[in-house]
Amino acid sequence: MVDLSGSWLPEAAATAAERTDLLFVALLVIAGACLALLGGGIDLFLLRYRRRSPDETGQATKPSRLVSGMLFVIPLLVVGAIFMAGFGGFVDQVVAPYGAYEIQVEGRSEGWQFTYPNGFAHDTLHVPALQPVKLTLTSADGLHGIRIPAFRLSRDMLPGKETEAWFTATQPGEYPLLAAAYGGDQSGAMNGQVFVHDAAVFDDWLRSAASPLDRLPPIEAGEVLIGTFGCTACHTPTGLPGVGPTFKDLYRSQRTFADGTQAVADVEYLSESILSSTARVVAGFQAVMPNFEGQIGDREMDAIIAYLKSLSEAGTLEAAAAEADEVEQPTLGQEDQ
Amino acid sequence: MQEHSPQASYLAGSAGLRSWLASTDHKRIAISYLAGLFSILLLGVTFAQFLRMGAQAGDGAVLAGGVLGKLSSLHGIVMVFFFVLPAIPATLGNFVLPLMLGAKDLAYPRLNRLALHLYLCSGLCLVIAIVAGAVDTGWTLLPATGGGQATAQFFLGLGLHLLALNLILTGLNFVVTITRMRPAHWSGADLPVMVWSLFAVGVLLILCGPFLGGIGLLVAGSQLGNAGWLSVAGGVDLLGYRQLFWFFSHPALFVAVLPAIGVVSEILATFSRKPVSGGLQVPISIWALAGLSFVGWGTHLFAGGQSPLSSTVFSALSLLVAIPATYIAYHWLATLHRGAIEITTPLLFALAALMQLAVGALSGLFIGALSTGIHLESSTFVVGHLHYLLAGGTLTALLAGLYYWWPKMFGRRTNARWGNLGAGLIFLGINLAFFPTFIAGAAGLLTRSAAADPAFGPALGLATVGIGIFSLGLLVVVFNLLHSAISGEPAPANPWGGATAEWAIASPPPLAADATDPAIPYDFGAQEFDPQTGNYRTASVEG
Repeated sequence: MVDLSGSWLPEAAATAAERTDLLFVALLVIAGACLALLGGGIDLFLLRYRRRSPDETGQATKPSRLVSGMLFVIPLLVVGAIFMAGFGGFVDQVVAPYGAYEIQVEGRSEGWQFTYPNGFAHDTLHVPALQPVKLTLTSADGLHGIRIPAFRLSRDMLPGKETEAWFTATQPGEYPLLAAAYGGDQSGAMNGQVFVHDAAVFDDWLRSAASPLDRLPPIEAGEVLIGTFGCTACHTPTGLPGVGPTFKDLYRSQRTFADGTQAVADVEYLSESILSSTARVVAGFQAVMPNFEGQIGDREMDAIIAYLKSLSEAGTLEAAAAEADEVEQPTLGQEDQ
Repeated sequence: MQEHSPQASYLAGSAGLRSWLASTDHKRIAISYLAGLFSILLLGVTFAQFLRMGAQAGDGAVLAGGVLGKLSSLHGIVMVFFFVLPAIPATLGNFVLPLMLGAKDLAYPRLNRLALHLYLCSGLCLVIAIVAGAVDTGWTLLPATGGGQATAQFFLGLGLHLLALNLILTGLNFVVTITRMRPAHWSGADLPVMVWSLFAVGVLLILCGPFLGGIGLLVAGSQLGNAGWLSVAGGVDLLGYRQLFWFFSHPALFVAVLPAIGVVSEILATFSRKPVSGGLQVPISIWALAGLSFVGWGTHLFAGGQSPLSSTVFSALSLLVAIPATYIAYHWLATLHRGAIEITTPLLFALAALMQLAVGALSGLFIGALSTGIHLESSTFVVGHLHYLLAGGTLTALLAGLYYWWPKMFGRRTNARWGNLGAGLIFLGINLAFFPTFIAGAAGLLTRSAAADPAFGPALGLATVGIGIFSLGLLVVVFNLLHSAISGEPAPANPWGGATAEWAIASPPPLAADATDPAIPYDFGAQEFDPQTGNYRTASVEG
């Protein structure tokens, strides 16, 4: 079969494309053959049956019963096959397989919002390759339509109604993600890319993109990170005792260590005791805390310390003073008070 | 002998604008429509020109993004509603339908005049809407898409409502004329294919016209007193609106295409000097198309939020259109087969329309099949499909019909050289303009995208050149027709050897032609060519 898919259809990057493209190419062949027959017939007859004298008349022709019947049967069979081929590809696309990776999509005039299973919302679509991905679609304002030509996917989005689409991307890469334009000013704000990653790369992307640092103010981010790194297993934020010292009023408190030395729990101390916890162990506790050296970055550390500060009176006073001085310390000390 | 009738031609006599607008004569009304339609065409093609060049120059380079969107909306609204729907029925249909049946006029001449006045009023509303700031709703008049100016919306809705009345009245007039005023002894097989196509169009207009009227009222009324029927805030059901819109617009596209089938059939018969092949098979196919047009609206909503079951049913129903289309294509070819073919300007236009209709119909297979249809939804592939049918089919067939009946309308022959040049330019222009949209659409170019991927540059460049050539061809045609009407070589009653009843009376026909008892159509053997006058005389008229 002639491979015209290269020149007409965009590079295919989803499993559904194969059947769709096959039908498309078959239709091109059918349409081309019909046009060739029609055009060729016209040209032939124009050459062959020219009027030689003004009084010449054409010979009336009558189609036989057989021809008349064939004119019904042949197109019926052809469009029947076309329908079945299109239906086959369509049915595949209707019901997402069980366990598909689910992403919520909301269309808005100012841009898309894609919400991932972990609750992280983003304005671009990233998906893992070789895994069924289900899009659950709604619209915030009016009619929108999502079009991913490389996936042969298109679906409209209506306010107050959920529609669905799914695909399995085959090739990591970037492909155009377009918004069907039904009217209004076409700013192109909704046209962009869909990013397909290998599964491992996708997981990394989602973890880092979904990092609380990017979507939360420092104190809240710190609170989330405390959970992420498992600190709350041993340290309570409430003042209750645990395997390790409580975080409550830890900041700026006087610490007495197992070797008898003392220090004020300032930023340097907190940072040190997180990264190399066994350097100085508070009296009365075991040196069982793992070292986080190399696991917690500077920004994460800042967020964690901001959170710890917010748990102590000294920290909140500091923050209030800083705010009064109009030094930027956003929202410090507002949480959990 | 009708051709030497002492009665004055319908063109002679009172010439003032008022006398034309006040006339109830179907021929005068047809010419008035023609003037109105070509003004609309000029507007629509100008929008297309700016649209293409604006998009070509790139985002905001020539026209701001918002202007581009408005131009695209206006081009669609002007051309679809105000041009291609009335195009052939109002002009050629009005002129030739009574003559083909040997009738004095349409059944309701004053209703016909009222319809003309409604059309002019709706055109005025359209102009007010444009002047008031236009709309940006797309041609599907989708609510809640940035909409645009309230006054413009109101007048556009009002205009569409009046236009719907016009279409319903025209359809009613045709249906009554054909059913009540055709010669009593004619059987169905004796009716010319053009009459059959106008019959089907008449029924379609009566059935789908009220829905356009309703849409017009919704669009206009939504702007009154913050009714907000069509606003998202007002809770509009967008899927429901789109179903309503396409319930009208899908048959409406057949309203545009069916009379083109009639015109092409007549021209093929005359210039092959034999009846349209297949007897009643072509008329039956026309009725089949009309019937299927009413169950095709969901084809436009494969991605639109309707249920998968609906999409499946609509896909099957819309693909069935291929069966009557096959009959028609086969019989057109069979009409040329063993014909006595004379290549003339009308035949060239008709063959161009034939091929373009074929491309338009075949491209419909891609859109009607589910999986490919979903990929192509709202891409420029659909633009290509629509334009091959409407510009390539309806408009080209209108020009074919005008060249064919011009000697009858004005009693003068058209200049063949200029006419053929026009046909060539228009064929080349349409194909250059719209074939690339298939390729770009399949590759993923969406409609209304001002900031297109530069990869589509070559295809769109070709389209821009095509629109230019098409416009040039249109200019050639318009000047050729006008020049011929005024100072062309005088034409006899039947210069082409047509064998339908309108060719048996004088060119141009007398203002108040009496009802005749016309011979059975397509009896080419009864004609005799008179080399002196260049006229094909019919034996029965002679006798």
